[in-house]
Amino acid sequence: MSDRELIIHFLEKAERRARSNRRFNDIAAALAIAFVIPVVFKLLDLYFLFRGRTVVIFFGLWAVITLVWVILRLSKKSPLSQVAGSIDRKAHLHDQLKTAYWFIQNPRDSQWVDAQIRYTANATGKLRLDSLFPRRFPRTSWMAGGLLFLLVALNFVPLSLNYNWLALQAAPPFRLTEEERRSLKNALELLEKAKAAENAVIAEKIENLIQKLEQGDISVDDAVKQLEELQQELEAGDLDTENIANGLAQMAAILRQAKSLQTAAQQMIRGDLGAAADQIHALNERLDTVSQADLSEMAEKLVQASERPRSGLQDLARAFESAGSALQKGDRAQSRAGLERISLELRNLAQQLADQELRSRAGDEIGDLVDALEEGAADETAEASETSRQSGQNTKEGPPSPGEAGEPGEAGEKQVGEAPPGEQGEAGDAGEPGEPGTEAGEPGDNPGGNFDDAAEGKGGNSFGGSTKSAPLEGEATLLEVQLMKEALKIEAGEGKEPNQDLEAAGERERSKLDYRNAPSNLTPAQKDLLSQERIPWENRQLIKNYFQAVKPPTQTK
Amino acid sequence: MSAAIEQQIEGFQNHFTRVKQEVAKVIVGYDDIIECVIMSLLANGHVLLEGVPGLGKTKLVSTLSDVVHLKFSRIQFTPDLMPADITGTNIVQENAEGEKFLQFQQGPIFANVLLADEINRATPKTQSALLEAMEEKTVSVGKITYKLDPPFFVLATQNPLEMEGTYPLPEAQLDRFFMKLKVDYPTMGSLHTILNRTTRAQEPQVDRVLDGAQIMEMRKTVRAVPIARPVQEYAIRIMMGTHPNTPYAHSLTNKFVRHGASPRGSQAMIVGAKIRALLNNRVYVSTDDIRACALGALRHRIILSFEGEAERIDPDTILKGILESIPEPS
Repeated sequence: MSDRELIIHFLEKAERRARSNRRFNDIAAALAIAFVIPVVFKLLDLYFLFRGRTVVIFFGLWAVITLVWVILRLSKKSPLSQVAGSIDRKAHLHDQLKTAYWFIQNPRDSQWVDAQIRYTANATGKLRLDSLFPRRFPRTSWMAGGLLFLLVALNFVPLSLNYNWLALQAAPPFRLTEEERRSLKNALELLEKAKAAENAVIAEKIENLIQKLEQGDISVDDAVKQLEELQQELEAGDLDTENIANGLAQMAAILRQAKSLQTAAQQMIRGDLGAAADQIHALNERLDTVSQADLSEMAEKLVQASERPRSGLQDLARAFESAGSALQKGDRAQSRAGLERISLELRNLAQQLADQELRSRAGDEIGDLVDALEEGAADETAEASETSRQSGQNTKEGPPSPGEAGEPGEAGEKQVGEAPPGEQGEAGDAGEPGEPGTEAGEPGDNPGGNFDDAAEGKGGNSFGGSTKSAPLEGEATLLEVQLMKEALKIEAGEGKEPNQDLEAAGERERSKLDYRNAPSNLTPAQKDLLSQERIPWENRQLIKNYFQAVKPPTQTK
Repeated sequence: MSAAIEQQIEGFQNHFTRVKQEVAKVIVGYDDIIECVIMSLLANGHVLLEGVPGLGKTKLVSTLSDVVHLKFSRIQFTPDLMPADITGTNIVQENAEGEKFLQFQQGPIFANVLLADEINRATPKTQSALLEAMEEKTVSVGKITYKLDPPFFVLATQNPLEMEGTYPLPEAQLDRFFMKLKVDYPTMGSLHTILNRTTRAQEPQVDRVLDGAQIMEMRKTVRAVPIARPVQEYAIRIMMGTHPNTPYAHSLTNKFVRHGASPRGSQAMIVGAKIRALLNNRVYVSTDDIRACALGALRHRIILSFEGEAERIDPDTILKGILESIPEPS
């Protein structure tokens, strides 16, 4: 082997060794740098909760980029001149090898050049590649290992929002916000308190629905629709609370005319049926001390109160009737049993109303959850809102559908933004003439009302507010006031339809702003109570009859 | 390594070492200066020694002339010195028949080693009398050009302190010097030796160890040393680094330099590097050799700008910056 070949061979050998060392270092360095990215990504995941698909895409891209980067770096081959320079520096050869390589590549007929090459060939024979390019464990490999360990450790950090990627877990596609979760929790708690059998089913449905939503099995829109259905199911309930409250007030108004039943009647008017039951029970205890005149009066009023009972109050009316009859007959035992039954019915009714209220509040919470979900999907909500608003305007401004001939306004104002136009007409058929047809509520705002109720011509007011779940709170309206108002209306509207004028006046004065969306600290029950601004139209005649019936005898005469 | 080359290198090193040792008998503490002066002699260059009076500059040159066994002459430059005082002049002579004729009377420049003492005291006109001799090794008087005997070696000295009554050397003159060497004060130990040697009854005597023919042979040896292109490119890049507003220019160059070094600067670097390679028993030039010669070869070839002059920038600072910034060739 000539001197030139010897030098070239040595340089090639050195280049292979340097390249293998460089590969090892490059891989370690590349991994050290590359592992920073998933670690940062994992840290971000603790706050932003990346979905499984995002994580998979990220790691796929990361792996490909890292692999390409490493391959590109590893494929680089150092020129021999560079290796020669490197050896010159490491072995302190003062550019000897580099010069020799250049002269080999650029031969020159010179004794000095030959001498230089020969001298260099001798020098390379003394060089040891192991000492020039020792195989060392690169420091960056420690860093890469540390980062890998950190990445693994981060997956096992015991945080509620930490998902272990190693166990193929990731954040669900959809996650409720704190507000939404609070609403859901409240609704479920309220349903649990209500203790009705169907409530448990509804609660389970809601939980399954939310679970599906979080797992991405259903879209937000679908979830909203299903939640709205469940909300309606909750608010539909078994009891017409408004009707019951009115019926109770009617009964109480009769009962209070009996001296012995005044206290219990007051409690009934206040809506405290439990206290009323206690009062009846107490009365039963001291029934022997009650005078005959009072007993007669009590019997008469009980019988009177049992007449024409409202829906949901039949059992109580029967108890009244039973007790009244027994009292009239002077059968003390039956009287006691009748009064006790009244007490029991009142307690049952109180329990049913409380359950109903809880269901209603749960429905409100679900409504809040639905609102929050809709707000969350900002773009879709904006589009849907715009569409809904346009639909509402069409309903107000467009030509009436054939079904609106009877009472278009009642159903229209309940279902604006939700019900299709054809269904409005159907609801209007059941309405009563005289209500303003274009008096629509805010688009899409229909708390408490449902389509079935509208179709039946009940269960809604002209502002779309719920009439079923209104809680019994506060003092009952004084009879005198109601009487005066009704008296004026009767006097002014005789032979005509005064309600239309009154309603028209009210509509003119009504604000166009949706005050119901204003922030409020009121409980849902209070909100419901406040939202009932007018007496439902279907009840007006009944109320009128009631007040006429309970007019003091002097006025009647 | 062939025997002939080995022999050449060994002979070169021996001659060089002997000259250096002889000069060092008289001149103490300036080994680097002595080495560079000898290098300049062997590189067919000239040397400008700059230093305050009394540091032995003149003594160094006279000692060197004694050692190398060459014809030595000295010119003390003064403001009234005329070019003819250096080159010589035609004077009227009369032959035996009484006929008058002009005969050229050689000036002190006709020597092998010329000491131009305090060269900056002469006017530029007189200083310029050396230009032709230093580069072409000829002297033109009237219509006749006289060739100087090789080797021709100019050693000029100048005092950097006294500026009054002096004339800075023109750039063309400066560029003809192979190296500019700065002579600093000797160290305490060197001063002891100097005093011991110069205050006794007998001053040290030097031997003549080198003649002109040997010097010319050594010069051939120097020129034979090969240099690889990457190393040569390194020298060129250093030289280009002194040129302001060029891609290779250093930031200090752009800021403080008006004119950079000429190609003579890279020639000086490479020839000096070759000598250094031989002295280090190498048959090739390395970048270390280039770096070692860069300061002496380039510092007097850099013309500072107004900013550089105002801030009293030392050209060595710029050159060191350039050397640090240019990577070694791969």
